[in-house]
Amino acid sequence: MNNKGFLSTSMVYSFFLVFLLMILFIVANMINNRILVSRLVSDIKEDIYGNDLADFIMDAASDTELIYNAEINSYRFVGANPNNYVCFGSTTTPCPSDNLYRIIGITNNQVKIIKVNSITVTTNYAFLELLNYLNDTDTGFYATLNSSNINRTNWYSGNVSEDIIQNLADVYSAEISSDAVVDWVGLPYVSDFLGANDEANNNWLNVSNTLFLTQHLNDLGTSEYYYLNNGVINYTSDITTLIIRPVFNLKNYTAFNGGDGSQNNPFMIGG
Amino acid sequence: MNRGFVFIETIVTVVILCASLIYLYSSYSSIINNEETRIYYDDPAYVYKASYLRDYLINNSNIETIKNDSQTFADYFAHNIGPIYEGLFLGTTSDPDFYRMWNNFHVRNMVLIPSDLITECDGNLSGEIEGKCEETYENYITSYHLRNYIRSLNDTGHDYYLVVEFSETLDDNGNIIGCNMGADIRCHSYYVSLGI
Repeated sequence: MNNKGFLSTSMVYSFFLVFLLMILFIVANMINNRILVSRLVSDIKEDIYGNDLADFIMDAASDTELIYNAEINSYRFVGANPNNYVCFGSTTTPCPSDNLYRIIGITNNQVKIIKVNSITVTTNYAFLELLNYLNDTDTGFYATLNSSNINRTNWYSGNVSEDIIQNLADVYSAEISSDAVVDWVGLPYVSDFLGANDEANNNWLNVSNTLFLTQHLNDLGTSEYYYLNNGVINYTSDITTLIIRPVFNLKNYTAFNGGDGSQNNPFMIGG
Repeated sequence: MNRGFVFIETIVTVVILCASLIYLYSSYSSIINNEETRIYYDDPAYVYKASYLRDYLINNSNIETIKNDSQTFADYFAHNIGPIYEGLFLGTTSDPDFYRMWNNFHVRNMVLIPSDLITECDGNLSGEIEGKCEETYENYITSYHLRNYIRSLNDTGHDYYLVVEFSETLDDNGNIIGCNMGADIRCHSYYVSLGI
């Protein structure tokens, strides 16, 4: 008879419990939905970033082949024969030899590549003329390229003195302090060559007679370029007999479309 | 005999339960409010729109030069990047295609921030950094909602982020149009950040 209070209290407790459960159910659902949406957004963003060539190479390349070089603030492929081949301007498999390039390194997410096959120059061009020759949109090397993936960058004249030519940090510092021209295509610098040395001085860029864009500092008023003479850096004013291997920088976030960087299965790039 | 006791017991129970319910409801409301705010953050449709803008900037503008210029973020942790940002496009004050995208996507604001803004301007600040953070918020991130969004960011995997604010509403015919938060009714802003 005396359990009216008990009954009303039980009713209030029951309502409270039901209300509490409803709130818990709604909040749990909301948290679950939030987690799902966060994962979805995260996947979408990964998709947006994820097919980036530079990011992929940084993840996939061997730690002994791609190393960070603090002296030039850049990641560089080093050693005798790293897996740094890339197919530029073609999606054909196997990559046509004329489209085969190798990656020099990655600076600020920008991939710098060098052509495997050389081209010829028949005139002793001075620095600006040489760049004009390479970048002529009608007859130059640039005209043969699919330019939508190439970045316009500074190309430095160098003017590096002989006494520092073996010192990477000094050469790099002198190069980037020299006069520059903004253009698409250039040539490898001496610093690119020195930066490709591994600890045992194996160097995949050590191809005899390769012409460097870096010029010798002289008082002659004429262009003297450094080049490789049987592994030794020398300089000359006659570039007509030398190996010209064009170099350029790919646009940031160039898409990666497969490959493992070996010569037979080079990295493929999109767009 | 103990009717008085039962009555008091019931009153006490009801009071305690009511207090608990009020507390629960306020917590619930706060969660709902946060959730309602968060639906305007990183909405997938707007993430894609922002990625088109980002791609366009990467491939057609001087955004890399701006990022790499040591002076760009010397005084502030942010810069408002838009169609009329000086030096954004080579040899021209603006870019018609980018301007068109900006209008069609109903972009209201776009801020380029270094990840330092996320890492440095958080928690207890002092000295130079505090001043730089305050100046940044006062001069470049003036919108209260944009500021809240940036403060909710915790991804620092990229060195720089593009934070985009889209403002949209529906016109009388149900079409989505651009609008100004605070000035136009039913105007909603959506926020997206992408590494760049």
